[in-house]
Amino acid sequence: MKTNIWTQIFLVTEDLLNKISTSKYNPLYYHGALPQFIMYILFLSGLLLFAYYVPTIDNAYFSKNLVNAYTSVAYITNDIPFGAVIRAVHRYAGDAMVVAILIHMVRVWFTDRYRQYRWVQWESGIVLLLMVLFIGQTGYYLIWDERSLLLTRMTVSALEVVPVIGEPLRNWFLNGRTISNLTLSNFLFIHIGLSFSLLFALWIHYVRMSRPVITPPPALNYILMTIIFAVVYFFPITATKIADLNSQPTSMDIDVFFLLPYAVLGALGTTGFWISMILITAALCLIPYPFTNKKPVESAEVVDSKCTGCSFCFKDCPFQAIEMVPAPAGSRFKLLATVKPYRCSGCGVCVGACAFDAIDLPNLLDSDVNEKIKQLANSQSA
Amino acid sequence: MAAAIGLCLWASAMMPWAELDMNVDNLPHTFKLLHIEPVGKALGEIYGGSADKHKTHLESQKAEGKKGEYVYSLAIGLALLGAAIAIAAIGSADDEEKMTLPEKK
Ligand code: HEM
Ligand code: SF4
Ligand code: SF4
Repeated sequence: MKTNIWTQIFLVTEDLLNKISTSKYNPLYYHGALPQFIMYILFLSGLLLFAYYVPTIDNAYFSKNLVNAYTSVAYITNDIPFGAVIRAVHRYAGDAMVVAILIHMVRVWFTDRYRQYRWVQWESGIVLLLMVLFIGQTGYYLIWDERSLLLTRMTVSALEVVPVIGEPLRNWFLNGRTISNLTLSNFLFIHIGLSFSLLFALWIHYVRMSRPVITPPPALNYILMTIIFAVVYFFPITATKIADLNSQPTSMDIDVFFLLPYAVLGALGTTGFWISMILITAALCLIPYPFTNKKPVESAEVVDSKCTGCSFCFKDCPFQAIEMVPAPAGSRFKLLATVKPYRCSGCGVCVGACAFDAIDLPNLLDSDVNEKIKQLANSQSA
Repeated sequence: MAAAIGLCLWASAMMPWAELDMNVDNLPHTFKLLHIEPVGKALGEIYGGSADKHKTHLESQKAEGKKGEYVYSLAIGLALLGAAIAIAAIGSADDEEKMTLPEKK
């Protein structure tokens, strides 16, 4: 086994967490389930905010008493019972989501569970990550304070330089040619629409896993919520200044989890921004590939004449690599198992599931394995 | 285990006190209706001592809105922590070994 410094660090961390929390509650074993749970927190807290949020900029620069996005957020914060807390929970759960996703990514990478037949999970994961980041950013536009205005203008500047479709993109983003009430409706639409689209992307993420672990044990959920609630208490969200379309805010606080791309945009300019974003995304997408064809997986094979169509292998395959198709004409049985080689991990679970010796790994025949086991058993008892 | 359950109960009882904005001088009407004003007063006695500390911290952090709601947030967090530790203490009995050594192919 290769043990480099990274392997050591990860293993020591895992071991330490096992000692603290026992392996039943080790968060590393729920790396995918945790972001999923945080998503529910975000949906619920977001729903509460949505009840009072008003997506307009109506004279945002004119009078604080007029109802607009900024004043509705202030109203939620100061007048709605627990409004400030819910708002902070929503924000910090967003940050926690990014942290959890990063841990998830590192974990699947470290445990080497991202290549070959798992490419769909990895690539859809990248899409999920980009979606989550963009949802978080639109969340910051919605507040409609000075930072929102600066972010909107920076985004517009970045979109405008995109060749050919730059202008339509800008008009789509602003929902018109300039910032107007319609702009904030669009921001709200993107924020909520994309949030619910996460469910669709997650469906793709899970579609090739038969038994994804998607719910952490309650104790872990509670601890996660403890952390979020404690952060709300120790670092309450503070008041910001209302956006003024006539002013030119030039600096802002950066939320490292969501707004880093804007720091890149500020530092490198629009072209540098796009080049770096495209490079980073492409690099992330390519991570699973350099190794892909080095050692293709030997996929399982069905011995058609022996298969009774009982579906046991189909139910047990962890990667949804087996499909039950109608048996060919003349067969005594209704169904026949077929393996989709590009999904098969060669794990051999199906071989164990089949009571009829009808499915095998070509390089590891069931009969050979049985023979070996018998030999071993005999040598033990002897 | 007992400490975890204690933490959970202690923090749970702190929640209504925080919801009263850490002030039991003018209890809301519900307390009168239910004849539980003594309970309200007792909460004030148990937790009242920390009210100033919470307020100083939250004011220094420029927290907006009612300060008690942030304290409620802390309390529910602590209650969940106590519950989590207690549940985990019970649940880890049927714990199984999951640690795997990764092997890069
Ligand atoms: C909204 C964000 C995400 C959620 C809620 C999520 C959730 C999950 C869940 C629940 C699993 C099953 C884990 C298991 O059964 O142990 C999983 C697997 C996986 N995810 Fe994600 N994921 C997200 C983002 C990502 C990202 C950003 C990546 C990487 C770029 C990624 C890559 C993978 C891979 C490769 C697997 C397969 C791992 C395996 O088979 O053990 N996911 N994900
Ligand atoms: S070896 Fe069998 S169980 Fe394992 S992935 Fe392939 S078809 Fe599925
Ligand atoms: S378990 Fe065996 S007999 Fe049953 S469907 Fe699969 S291959 Fe056919």
